[in-house]
Formats: sequence, C-alpha cells, structure tokens
Amino acid sequence: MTRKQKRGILIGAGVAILAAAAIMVAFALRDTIVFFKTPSEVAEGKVPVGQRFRLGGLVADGSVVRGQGTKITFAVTDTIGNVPVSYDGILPDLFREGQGVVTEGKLDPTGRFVADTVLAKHDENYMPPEVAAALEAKGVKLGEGATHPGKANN
Amino acid sequence: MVVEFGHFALVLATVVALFQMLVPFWGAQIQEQRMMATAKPAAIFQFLLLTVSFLALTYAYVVSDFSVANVVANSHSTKPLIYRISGVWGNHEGSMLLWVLILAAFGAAVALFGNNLPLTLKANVLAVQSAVALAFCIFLLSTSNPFLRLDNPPMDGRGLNPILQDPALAFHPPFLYAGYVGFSIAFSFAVAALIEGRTDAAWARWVRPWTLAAWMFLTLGIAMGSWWAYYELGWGGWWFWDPVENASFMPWLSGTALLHSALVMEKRETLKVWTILLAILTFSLSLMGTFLVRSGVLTSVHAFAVDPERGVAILVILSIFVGGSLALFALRAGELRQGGLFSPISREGGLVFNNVILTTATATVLVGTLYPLVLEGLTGAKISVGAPYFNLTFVPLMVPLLLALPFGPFLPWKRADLAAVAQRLLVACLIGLVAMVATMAMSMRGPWLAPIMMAIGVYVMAGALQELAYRVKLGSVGPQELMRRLWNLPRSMYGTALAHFGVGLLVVGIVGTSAYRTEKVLVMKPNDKVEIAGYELTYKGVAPHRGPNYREQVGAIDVARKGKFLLTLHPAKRIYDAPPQPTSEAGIYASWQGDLYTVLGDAQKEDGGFAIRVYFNPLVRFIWIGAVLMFIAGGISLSDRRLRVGAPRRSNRKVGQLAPTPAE
Amino acid sequence: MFLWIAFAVLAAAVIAALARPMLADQVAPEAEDEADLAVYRDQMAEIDADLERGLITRSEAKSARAELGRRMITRADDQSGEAKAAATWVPSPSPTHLAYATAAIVPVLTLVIYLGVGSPWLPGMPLTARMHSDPTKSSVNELIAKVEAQLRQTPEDGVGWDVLAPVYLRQRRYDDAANAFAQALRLLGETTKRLRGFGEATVMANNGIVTEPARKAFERIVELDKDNPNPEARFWIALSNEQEGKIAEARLGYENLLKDAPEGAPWKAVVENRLNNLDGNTKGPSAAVGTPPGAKQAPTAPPASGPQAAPGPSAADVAAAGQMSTSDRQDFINSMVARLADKLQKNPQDFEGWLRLVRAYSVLGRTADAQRALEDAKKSVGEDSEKKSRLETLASELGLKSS
Repeated sequence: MTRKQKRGILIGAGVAILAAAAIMVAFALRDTIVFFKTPSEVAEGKVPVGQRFRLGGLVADGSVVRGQGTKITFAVTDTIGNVPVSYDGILPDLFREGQGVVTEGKLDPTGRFVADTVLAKHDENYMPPEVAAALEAKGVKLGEGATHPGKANN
Repeated sequence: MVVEFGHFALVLATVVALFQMLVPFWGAQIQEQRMMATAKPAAIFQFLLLTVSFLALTYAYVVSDFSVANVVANSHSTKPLIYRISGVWGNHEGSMLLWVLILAAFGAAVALFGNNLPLTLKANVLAVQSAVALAFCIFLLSTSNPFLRLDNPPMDGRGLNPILQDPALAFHPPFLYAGYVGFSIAFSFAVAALIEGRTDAAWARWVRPWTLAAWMFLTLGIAMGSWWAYYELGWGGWWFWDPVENASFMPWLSGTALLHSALVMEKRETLKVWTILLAILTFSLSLMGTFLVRSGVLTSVHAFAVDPERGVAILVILSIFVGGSLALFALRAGELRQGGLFSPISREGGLVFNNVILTTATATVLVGTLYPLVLEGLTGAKISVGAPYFNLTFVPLMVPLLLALPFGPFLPWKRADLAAVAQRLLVACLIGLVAMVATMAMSMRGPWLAPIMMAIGVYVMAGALQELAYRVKLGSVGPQELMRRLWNLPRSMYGTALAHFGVGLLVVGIVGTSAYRTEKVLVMKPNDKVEIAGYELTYKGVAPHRGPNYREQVGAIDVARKGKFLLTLHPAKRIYDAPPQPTSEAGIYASWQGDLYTVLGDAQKEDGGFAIRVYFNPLVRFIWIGAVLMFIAGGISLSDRRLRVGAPRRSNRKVGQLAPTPAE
Repeated sequence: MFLWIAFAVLAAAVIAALARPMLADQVAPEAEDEADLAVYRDQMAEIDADLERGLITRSEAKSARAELGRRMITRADDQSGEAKAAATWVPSPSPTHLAYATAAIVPVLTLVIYLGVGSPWLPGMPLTARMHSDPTKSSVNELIAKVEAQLRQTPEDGVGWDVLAPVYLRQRRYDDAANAFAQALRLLGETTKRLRGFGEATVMANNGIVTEPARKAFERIVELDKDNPNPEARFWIALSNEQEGKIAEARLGYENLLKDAPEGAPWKAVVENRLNNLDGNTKGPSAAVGTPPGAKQAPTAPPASGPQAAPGPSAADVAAAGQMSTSDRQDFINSMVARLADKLQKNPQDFEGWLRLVRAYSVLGRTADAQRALEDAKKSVGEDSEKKSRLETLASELGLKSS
C-alpha cells in the first residue's frame, strides 16, 4: 500500500465512526430528550397524554396527601395552573409544601401527572432555574419579599 | 494580621505571575539566558506565595475569624475542624484559590524537576503556564476575592452546606482540580512548542509524565465524586450524567486520548499535529468545566455557587486561552513536519482507533451537555438530556473500543498481523464467553445485552493479564526464568496491563449494578421483615441522636443471611443546625457480591411506620476498585525510568556503552 | 507596623529571587540540542533493553534503531540550519537594568493593588479571642454568643439558660427563647416568670397560636398563683379556647378577666376587643393574635392603648388584623405604626404614644427607628425626671442604647 492509501484507510475509518456517532446523536436527541413544562401549560392542554416530560413549579400549599404505604399525591402549581401529581416512592429530603420541585413522568388520561422521579434541590434557598424562570415569566413575584408560605412570618 | 498577610501574598503572587509571563518569554525571544533563568525562581515563588495565601485563608477558617466575609458565608463555629478546613474549598472563592494554587504547584514542579528541558522550551512553558495563572489571579482579586473583610464581624457564620460535610467530598475537589489543572502543563507545552515551531519525539517524552500525573488525579477525583454521590445523595446511583459530572468526564476522555497519542509521538514521531491539538483541547475542556460549574449556566445538583458575573469573567478567560491557542495552532500547525509511516493495522493504527473513538465520545458528551443550552438560546424551549441520551450515544461507542482494547498492546509498531494477534487473544475470548454463559445462568432476568457486556468486561480483564503472560512467555519457560522475566519487565508495561485490567473491572461493575440492581420501597413498622437478594432485613425502629452540629433520627436494620445475623445497618435522616437542612445518610453493607443499601424515608404519620428504601447493587464496588487500579497503574508507569521526569541524565556516555537499566 | 514589616520582608525576598539570575554573570550558552540528544540516547538504550528482555524481535530493534538514528541526524541538521536566531523585532534590554526595573516595579504595583483591595487596618479576629475579650466593651450579640458557647460546653447549666431566655425573647428569637425557657424550667424548677416566658415564647414562635405546651404552662401559672391569678395567663388560656372553637368557655374567661380587672387596668380594652370580636364572629374560631394584657412584649401589634392615649388601632382594626394572612398583617401593622409616628410628629406631648412607638419599632425589629424615636421622646419630655426614668427603663428593657 502506498502512503496515500494507508492514510486514506485511516481517514475513511475515522470519518465512518464520526458519521455513525453523529447519526446516533441526532437520533438520540430526537427521542430521549425531555421537555420542561409549567403547570399552566399543562392545564391549557398543551401536552399530550402519555408523552414524557418534566413538570416544575411549587408544591401547592396543603395539597400533600399521603396514601397507602409510600404513595403520595400533591399538586404542582405556578399559581396560575395547578396539576395533580401522584408518586410512589420516597421523597427527597427537601421536598416541602411551598418549595420548588421538578417531577418527571407522564400524564394519564384523567389529567393526573404520574411521576416516577421527584427532584428537589439541595439548597434551602435554591429554586431550580427552570422553575424560577417559568414562574417569573408567569408574573409570579420571586426573590425578596415573595410570599413563601413557610417563611412569610418571622 | 495573618489574613492580611495572606491577602498581600496573593497580590504579590499576581505580580510575580505577570513577571513570569513577560520576562522569560521575552528572554526566549532574544535568546538571553539570564532572563530565561528567572522563570525558575519566579515559578517557585509564585507557588510559595500562593501557598502562604492559601494557608492564611485556612487559618481564618480554623480559628473562625468572622471578620472575613468568606468565612462568615461558609463556616460556623460549631463545625468539626475537618469541615472547617474543607470549607476553605467548599465555596467558590476558596476553590478558585485552590485552583490557582494547584496551577502554580504544577508550574513549580516543572521548574524544579524539569532540569532535562532545553532552557528555551522551559522558559516558554513556564511563561504560558504563568499567563493562565495571571488570568485566574486577576479573576480572584477582582470578582472572587476570598480575603474581603467586614468592619462589623458577626458572632457566627452561616455554615457550610451540610451535603458538603462529608469526608469523601472534603477531599474530592483537590484531586479533581489537580487533574483539571494538571492538563495545563500539557497545554503550556503545546503552546510553547507552537511558539517555537518545533515538536519532536523528545517533546512528547517531556509532556507524558505530566499528562499521566494529571490523568491519575482526575481519575481518582472523578471516582471520589462518584463514590460520594453514591452514598450521600441517597439514590443509590453512582453516575447521573449531570452536567458537572460531564464537565470533569470530558477532559478525562480527551486526556486519555492524549496519553495514548503522545505515546505514538514519542515512539514514532508521528501524529504530532493531532497530539498538540489534543493537548490544547483537553485543557480547554478543563477550563470549560470550570466555567460550567462556576457560572451556573447549566442546571445541576452540584451547582451551589452561581453568579452570572463570574461566569462571564471565566468565559472571557476561556475564550482568550482557547481562541488564542487554537489561532496559534492554525498558524503554526502547517510547519510541523510529518513523521514515520505505519500501516493501518499496527500499534499506531490501534492507538489512532483509540483516539478517534475517545474524541468522538468526548464530542457526544459535549453535545449532550451543551445541547439544552443551545436549544434554549435558539428556541427558548427547556429540555433536559439525561441518561437515555448517553446510553444511546456514548455506550455504543465504547463497545468497539473495549473489543479492540486488548489487541492494542499485542500489536507491534509499524505493521502487524491481526490474525496472529487474534489467535493469541483466544484464551481471553473464551474466558469472556464463559463469563457470559455464567451471567446468563445466574440471572434469567435483566436486559439481553447485559451478559454480552459482562463478557466484554471480563474479556478486557483477561486480555490485560494475557498480555503480561505473553511478555514473560508464561508456560514456555521454567520458573526461574519466569521470575527473571517478570522482574525485568518495564514498569510501564505493568502499568498498562493494570490500567486496562481496571477498565475491565469498571465495565463489569457498571454492567452488574446497572442491569441487575434490585430495589424495594416500602413502609416498615418495628420488627417488620423484608427480603432482598437473599438477605433478610428486620427493621428495629428509629432513635434520635445528637451529633456535633446536627440532630438525627437513626434507624436500626438487622441484616441476616440464611438465618445468620450479619450486622445492623444505621441509615439516618439528619437535620443540620446551620444552615438547618436535612440530609439522608445511607446505611450500607458492602460485600464482594454487591452492596446492600438502605435509606430512611419519611415517618408515616398514622401508624408510626417509616418509609424505607432498600437496594441491592451487585458488583458496584468494582467500579471504584477499577478506578483506583487505574490510579495505581498510573503511579507505577510514572515510576518507570522511561517516564521519570529527570530521566535522561546529561552525560557524555556513548550510546553503545549504555547498559540496559533495570527498573530502579 | 509589624504587618508592614512582614510585607516588606516578603516583597524583598521575592525581588531578590527574581533579580538574582539577571544580575549573574553571563554563562556560557548551553547547547540547545543537548537535551534532545539525551532523550534520543535514552530511547536507543531502551531499544537495546527491550531486545535484551525479548520484548521486541531483532528485526524490529534494527529498524527502530535506524529510525532513531535518522531522527537524531535530522535534529542535528535543524539545529545547525536555523541555529536559534535571536528575534530581531524585540528590544534586547540589559538584564541588569531589567533587574533594577523589577526591584522598582514589583513592590509598587503590589502595593497599589493591595491598597485597593486589602484592609490592613483591620486586626484578625479569631473567635476565641473575641470570646475572651473584656465584657464591658462587648456588644449584646457578643455577650449572647459567649453565653451560648458556654452552654454548648455545659448544657446542664440552668442559670445560663435562665439568663439567656429573656434576652432571646427580647431579640424576637422565639424558638430559641422557648427552648431556653424550657431548659431553665427543667433544670431550675418552675416559677411563674419562667412559665410565662416559656408560654409567651411558644405562642410567638407559633405565630400567635396558643399550642398545647403553651396552654399547659399558662394553666400551671394559674394553679401556682391561686390567690392572685395572673391576668395574662388567664387571657392566653381564654384565647386558646377561642382558637380551639370553644367560644362559650372563651367568653367566660374574658368576662371573668374583666370582672376581676382593677380599675383603669390598661389591658381591659384588649379583652373587650376580644369579646367584641367573639360577638361579631361567633361562627368560627378565629386564629387571631391577641394582645396580652400587660404584656411587655407584644407579639405583632403595638401594646394596647391606655384610656387617655392617642387613638391607636380600633377594635375593628384588630379584628381585621386577626383575619389577615401573616404577611398582610405585617404590612397592616407597619401602616399602623406609621400612622402613630405621624401623629406624634404633630403632637409630641403624648408621652404614652412615644412609649408605644419605641416599643413597636423595637418589636418590629426596626432598631434604628426605635433608637431615633427614643431620642425624640427624650427631647419631648424636657426635664420631667419621672418620665425620663421611665424611658430609661424602657430602653434597657428593649436593649436600646440610653444616653
């Protein structure tokens, strides 16, 4: 083989691997990504039943109901829309009413969000940026002076 | 007093960095030896000054000097001493100071141990290194100064995020940074080589030990982070494809590629352009990792210190160094002469294959990490890219790499006979197949792919051992000759075999725990029993307990196997005093087959029961054992005389007189 | 001074280290290629070693040697060809001059930057040293911290808790106060004062809800003081009944309280308010925060008005406040306080009004305003020593500076 041929084989193999990887990436990005939705978007019916997505907002005050065993239901709100959520499992340490939360799962036909993952962030003052941005976009006041049910009085 | 002294030392170090960037570089341009010679004391003093500065900050933490704003924000008088110390780098300002300190430490190491380097190269390398240090010193002083004082000091601090009060996490950042920052040396060498317009085999030989050291630290740092996430976050997972994890994983991937391509460059003086580019890219990825973690542009479980202004500052530094070095590369790469020839099937070919796959894998991780950011910028849609994406893109890339891995060390340079090598690996293949059958026999459930992946992992391990066996001609020589051969084998060969063995072990651990983990979530009342993976667990109840700076509810779960009592696990739920924040402490029983992992959930209001989560994670320890083996393997290779930093002595011995040097 | 000497020593050491190589004699230029050749020689030796160990075949070794040899020759050619020409586009300073320039620039630049960011006048303040500093010069917070640190060492020291508890209460750290009172009660035994402190702190910590432990404490006070039942405790018990929806019992409690009230007791109005409130709102329990009669620390509203005082919040106001959410109530109270402050601007002779304003500011945590109101009040009383001493008492009670 000449030098050119050898190099050709090497470059060809490299390009083939890259192309295969690029195809996989494109494929994966279409199928595996999860969109982030707010409760009002869900309440407006913008999300089809059965599609996997992330729902983020605040845990509505007084909505947490513990059922049999580790089953739990609560509502996620952005103060405009309200979506009931059911979950079976152990909640993160920082899960609390009035706190920001991100849940992942699907809507069932009755409009209830069945979550298989519940995330709360590891910081007392932390609100997931998506939640903060979404809430602010909906005109909900955040930051200093915001009515945070757990903290309004002191 | 001490604090101000540290502050002054930091400022002085910044000025020294400015000096070290200008004078040696200037000297190299005009070939003035006396100016180039200043690089060494400058690098050493830069390191000493930053050490003084770092120790002063540590002192402020240890004595709880609440006149330092940084201490107030991140410490508390009741915190145990070890976390007061680790609190120094548990926050943005302190961690950036540590970052610069490690950068200077690597510079000083080159100055001290790089006596074998040509003076010009050394001056240029240290000047480039110092340019990076200068940028970060200015960044520290202007936006993230840890030494700012308060006129009216409060009586107590706000405390360190409790999740960071953990022994593994206390020492995870220094290792991770040593890895990140260590690649700066490879970067400085690459830029210096471009400035001088020459690279050769000698260059690769000088760079390799530094790259290897950085790679070792990064390996251990990532493993520690993963180990911490495993037992502290209470999810039983060990890797989450979280942006911050990816940020440390990308430099690791390209750093691994760099290690291998530098090998080709040293032996055959080929792949020069590529190796230089990799060195630049690897450090650029490290810088990007710093940017991603510190700017908070990406959502992450780790993003606890975020500040857009600082993010912009790091972005500026990032673009200057990445843009500048790539521009220099584009300008000068054409002047680099091509080296030796090789056939596609050869050791070189194998290493090229390794490099192509590793860089492609780096690219897929990069796309997955940045895609949400780009998409949000373009369309405003918010998405998250999680494990499914990486399982579809990253994992398939690893399969051919792992299959090819055992071939590599068997291939001779220049050209090779693939069939002959395959024949030698027959035994490893057979062992892999046996492992596959055994896996299938032991567990009927689990994904169909799992036994195959398990086989690949075992095959990689067997292949690594077989290479050693082949080198010492196991089976065809007598025991005495065997010992002599084992003794004479270069340490770097042991290093290679051990590192590859560690990769196999890691794969086995990952496959075992991902495919065969079992999980049970249930509500238990005292004396309730649950069975999992052959263990019988009895919940005994919870009791309150008071720690040094937290209160906790400690559960007691008796573990028995086949009716024999083994031990009592104590998962706990803690609430820290300052800041008052809950954390979960998992109760873990570790064995070779796997980990029994228990987490205490919420108390059930009605009946006094507790929600309890129990996992069995088969083979999960192999993941970290594999990583630690890679770290040790790096150390063994580093101790080889071939890679020793000061290896070639300046002597006028003639080539022929050099006797083979056994490993010292 | 010592600090500046330390700075100077550090800077001098650095300058010496940086300048030394530049002041040295010109050394004979080292052969640049020596380092490269050393590497190649070493690689050559490795080939021999690998051959010796049988790691490579003889032919492989031969071709590797040949390649290495070619590389050494090329390298040597390069060296002689380009011969490391000194760049002509950059000036070549004398290293000696550069050394002097370094000695001048490094300290000046460092000092300029340091003075911009540093605070050399601030001494270090390790916590232990501050803990042992002269108590007469310490701030209230420092003193509290000292006692707290002491109590972490000896948590069974009842006296410490007893001292700390009322201070916490005054600082509105209600959770801490309740805990401290509870500790003092446990360790030193019951007194009406501690019980009352515990009860009040617990009520405050729960935003005005009289919880079970608080109620028990108040009941205990009534039990201990059979002859002269503390009206405050009785008020809280009645309020707790009201909050639980036991309207009849609450009414009875308030009415008894009124019956036993001495002539002109300032808290009568509060109780009457509550009674009115019950009449107007008998349907459901109201979780209103009442104002205890004679309470020194009103929880969220200024203390009840005496008969001759400027018009404070009306009964309707209080009732309205009771039904508001906590944050709204806070706004409401702030607006009430602002009204009071306005009135006092116009009519500074209202002494009771001043007392109320100071207290209200202090309760709301607006210490600076409280301080200012106190000064204004002092100006308004002129030479009246009786009123002056009442102001002093109030100031010390609230932890304000009294000049």
